[in-house]
Amino acid sequence: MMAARATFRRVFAVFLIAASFAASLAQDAGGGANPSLDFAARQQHVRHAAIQKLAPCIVRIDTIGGAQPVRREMNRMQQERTAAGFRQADGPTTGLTWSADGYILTSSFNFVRDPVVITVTLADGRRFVARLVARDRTARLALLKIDAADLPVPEWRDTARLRSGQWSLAAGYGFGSEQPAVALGILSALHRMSGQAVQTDARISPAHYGGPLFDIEGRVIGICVPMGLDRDEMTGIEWYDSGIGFAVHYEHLQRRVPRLMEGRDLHHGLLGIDLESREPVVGIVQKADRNGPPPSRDGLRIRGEPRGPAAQAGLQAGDVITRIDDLPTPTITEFRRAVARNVAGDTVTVTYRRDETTTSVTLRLASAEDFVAAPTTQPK
Amino acid sequence: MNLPHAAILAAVLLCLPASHAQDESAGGPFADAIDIARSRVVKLYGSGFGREHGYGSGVLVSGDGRIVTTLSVLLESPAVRAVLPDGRRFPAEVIKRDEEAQIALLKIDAADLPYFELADSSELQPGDWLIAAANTFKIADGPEPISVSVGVFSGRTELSARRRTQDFTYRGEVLLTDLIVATPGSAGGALVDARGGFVGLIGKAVTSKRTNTWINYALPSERVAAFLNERSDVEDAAASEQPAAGDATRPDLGIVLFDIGGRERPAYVERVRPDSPAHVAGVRSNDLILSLDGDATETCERFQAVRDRLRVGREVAIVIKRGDDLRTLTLTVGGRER
Amino acid sequence: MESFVEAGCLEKNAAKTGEEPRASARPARRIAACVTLFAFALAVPLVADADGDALAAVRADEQQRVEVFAQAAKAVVCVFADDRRGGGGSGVVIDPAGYGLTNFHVVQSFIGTRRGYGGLSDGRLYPLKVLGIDPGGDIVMFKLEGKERFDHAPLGDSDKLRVGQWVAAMGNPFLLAEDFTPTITLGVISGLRRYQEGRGNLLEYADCIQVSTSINPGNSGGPLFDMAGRVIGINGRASFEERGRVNVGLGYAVSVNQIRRFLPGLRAGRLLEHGTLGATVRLTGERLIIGSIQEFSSAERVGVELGDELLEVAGRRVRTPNDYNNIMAILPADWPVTLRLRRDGEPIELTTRLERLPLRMSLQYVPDIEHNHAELLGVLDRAASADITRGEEPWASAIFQGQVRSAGAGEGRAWTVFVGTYRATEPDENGLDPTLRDEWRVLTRPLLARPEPDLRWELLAGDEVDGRLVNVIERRLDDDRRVRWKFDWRTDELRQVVFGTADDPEVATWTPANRKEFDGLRWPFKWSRRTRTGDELTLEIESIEFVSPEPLAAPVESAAEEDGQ
Repeated sequence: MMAARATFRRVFAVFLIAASFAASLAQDAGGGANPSLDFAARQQHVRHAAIQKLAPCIVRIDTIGGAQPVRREMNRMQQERTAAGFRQADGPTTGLTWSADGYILTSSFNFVRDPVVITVTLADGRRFVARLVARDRTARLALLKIDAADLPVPEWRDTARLRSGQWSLAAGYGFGSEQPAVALGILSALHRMSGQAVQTDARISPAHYGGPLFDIEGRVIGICVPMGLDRDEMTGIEWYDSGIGFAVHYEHLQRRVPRLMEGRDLHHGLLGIDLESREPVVGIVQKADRNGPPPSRDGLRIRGEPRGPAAQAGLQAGDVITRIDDLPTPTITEFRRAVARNVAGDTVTVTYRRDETTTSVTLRLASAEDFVAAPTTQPK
Repeated sequence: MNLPHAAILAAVLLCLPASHAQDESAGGPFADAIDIARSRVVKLYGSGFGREHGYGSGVLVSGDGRIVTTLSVLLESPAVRAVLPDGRRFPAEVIKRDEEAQIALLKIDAADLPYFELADSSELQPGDWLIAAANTFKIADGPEPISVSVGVFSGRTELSARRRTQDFTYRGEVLLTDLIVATPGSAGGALVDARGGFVGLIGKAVTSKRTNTWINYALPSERVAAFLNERSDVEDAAASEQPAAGDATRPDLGIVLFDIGGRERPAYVERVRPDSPAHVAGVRSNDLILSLDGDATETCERFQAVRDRLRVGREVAIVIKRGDDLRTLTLTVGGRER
Repeated sequence: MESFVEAGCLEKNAAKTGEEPRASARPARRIAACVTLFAFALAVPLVADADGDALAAVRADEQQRVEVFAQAAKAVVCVFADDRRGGGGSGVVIDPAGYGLTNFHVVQSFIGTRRGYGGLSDGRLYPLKVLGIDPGGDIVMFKLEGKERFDHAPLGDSDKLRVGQWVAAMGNPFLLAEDFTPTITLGVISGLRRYQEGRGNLLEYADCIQVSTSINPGNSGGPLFDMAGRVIGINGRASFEERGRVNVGLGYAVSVNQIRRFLPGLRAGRLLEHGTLGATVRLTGERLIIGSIQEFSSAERVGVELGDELLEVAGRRVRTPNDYNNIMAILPADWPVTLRLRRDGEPIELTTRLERLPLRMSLQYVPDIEHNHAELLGVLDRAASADITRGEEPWASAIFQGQVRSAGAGEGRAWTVFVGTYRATEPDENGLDPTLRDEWRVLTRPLLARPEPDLRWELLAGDEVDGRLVNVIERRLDDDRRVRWKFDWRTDELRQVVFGTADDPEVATWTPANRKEFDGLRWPFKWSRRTRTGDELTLEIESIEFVSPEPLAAPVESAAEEDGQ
């Protein structure tokens, strides 16, 4: 009995030591005694895998020549706010493979100088001359085509399943590194910029524009682009590295990229109206004040006489727009998002209420150039 | 101690989590690394000049008070002070400089200080955690703990940057990060990995020529180690990269570019001198030169700048566009008398 | 399985008896070898599955954060000055009734009307009313209207924060929230107890939290959350440099523990000021010394002397002038403060109240009396219906009349006051002791009876009693006497009753009995008696009558009687 016990004790002692060693083997190197360091190592491990998975689809873009932007006398900060100031830089930019047959998606920011020559270098080192197929001025995208086949293409993330707070990484060649340089953040918000883009706090800059925003499994959420508060294609650059960054999400890319393949640039689509900008407030009766009449509860009232497509379609001052296509427009945000799904040249159906009657008309969205006099801009 | 007791002890020790002592120590997943970093980074003060700030950071590299920092105007002051994490102030003396890397070595008269071992950064992979510790905006005074932040390692690149209007002297490899370290007072601070290992010295705030934006980077710890240990060798190596001032030959490839329209035009080849290095390599008229020796050559001026840096006798790659094709050719840099 | 301790003992016993443990060594070794192999065999699949494990663990952690953020984001407000999204910032709702916090500088543009708007993540805009303001601390409280119940976020404890822990800021930088869903940014705590110099008269941030989360114009007034979704600060400032007003990795938040002391006053709708001791400090070698004392200041009155070494203020160890500035800048005017000093090697403890530090700005601020009264009634209501079934021992409930006579001034003066505490008896269907309700009606009947606010009653700024934050209700009697009731901010228990005058509000103090000493209907209660030397007013307790728990027969008359005295 005693002998058996002694045996058992020895065996168990050896087992315990062996099991402890085995346990530390199973953990990442060096983190054995510290669970939070273990977890940090695991996060790194997961990120390495995500980057490796996506790397074959990230391309480097080089451009040669193009018009030199005219440099006005500006102080340093003003210079930095314009595309001209930024594109004095001569470094490479970034893109992402879209299709196996050679379409490359990137940002229109990278071609503001209308370069003479564009080359694309794949992750495997092969370099191609690229043709600029078309630009999307509203979403700041650009589509290139190279003469290649069997390009690796990324896995995309379903936009509807994104959630704020999820990790998001960006990767870009802009600093001239051999591998794309990586930045880490979270998804700060979904559906920004009239619903076209997600927002991230990853430090995005011209080094990343045109490249992917992806999750910890290497699935692409969207394409990083500069976006800002006004219509100018290049606003938003002043927010580089500030933790305010945007990526056009997959749902919007699926709308736009096939259009870009047709080969013509896409522009903002305008109806030709101004809208009353007061918003409905819960629980109080809003009165007319010096900012205008109280807002309507179910739609947006047209302020001033419509022009362009809206005028041709018979809309008048005071009409209340309740739907664009099949989407209700109780607030300016809904209205802008509904319109932003389309571009100049697209037809939309506008439903509006005048006195007690509701009517629907179809009209074709115009571009800013279509307006003869000063273009009517929609309120911010 | 007999076997079963040893086994218990081994098992228990392997399972114990690291304990965090007092209130002022760091928390969160990087607590240990932050405590390590904060205890080895010092605050530096000197006099400022114009837009240059009179404060910065430094890292302790020896127990007796050797401190590495970046070269800056504050070091020109007659009274450079180092403030240790515990608040003690010391006058600091500059004892070594590296003009190319823009770093310097200071010495204070102290003993038994915690310091960084200069391991190398080659294990770092993009996506790895990085912690920055620096005297940013001189928010912390005296014994107040310096600022820390958490981000990731972005990758490595050769630096091509400007500081205000001048080209930045250092063109070697740097560690890129998504931490914002191009801020006043951060230069000379530390980048450490998740375990508190020193991987880089935060560099002077410069603008990348490639993106025209402030670039967040650090000098790799190997470069700092080289400065401390083999300074003269580094200088010699740097010198040998440049053609000596009195050199009789200059690099020549045999390429004549289309120069009409100014030097900002793309580098199209007008003609190639027969039997020149370019001719032998296969460069022809009307080729567009995209890059030389790995550097993009967007304009004639850029091409000439890159060519002038080449060493006679070296083999370099040249990428050209002919029609719709891209080709990489290899040529041996020739020499020509000045 | 026998325990190892036991096994050890057995081993010793075996040795004692001289038994040879190696008798069965060979089979034991074989078994040990097999077991070792087995253990390593277990390890191999553990290593091989590390990838899958790692991803699952990282995903689970990410998902947990997503859920915490989703809940917290519902409490975040996009604050606007008008219904056209003008003049924006951020805020956070901290109470289901719609009370919330934001920065003073966010609402400054509409401080005259005090009316603004708040957008919530349901996409809708709600009316917002500014209540109390603390311009010196850059904090105001607002209330949203339009819903019965608002999503709110709990408050955390900023004293427990550590540098390096994850935090998140939520708000509306650059007014990007087109649908009012907040922008969420993640970072770590970069520093604690930081100091940011003020700009002009305002925005001095002392003892603040430095964060690496992206904070940009528009984030002001919004919450800083810990990873459990608790508010630990209100974001208000950032360091900017050559690039202009764009985040470069440094943001600052007012700590929630600073804000806590101001909460009762903010809720009462008052203009709050910060306090000052009237003394400065300087560092002599390693010691922090009182360097100057203003005449007639709190410090002078309580007996602080030049050259005293200052060790602790309000429970916080101070070692540098910055430490001192940090703690002084965050305390309200009139706050009780305990100082620990050393004089000639001897430790001294002094307690005083801070004086007001007047705002260095002219501010047109008219307190909203109706709101103050509504809040006051709310406090009394909560105190009356405070949960009495807390599982603790039953304790006394009664009304008593205290008669305090003051001698020395020639005429005797007396205060008669009705004070109630709680008793756990059989509660009625509302959970309320019926005699308790009556007691409170007696107390508050004059207050409740009037259609418009009774100007003799007022909800004051908060105070601290025995380390607990309290609400303070003041009743002014006709001849300048005052009574103040102090109710615990969290539990609504009565903590203290103070009797005084306009000049000296703290002449006499009553605190509730120690409930453990309670025995039946008698309770020992204590009066503290204060005598001021150099002043003719001396207070002596002449008599105290204890009145039984039965409701008073003629409550209305009693109230009138009280007024007349």
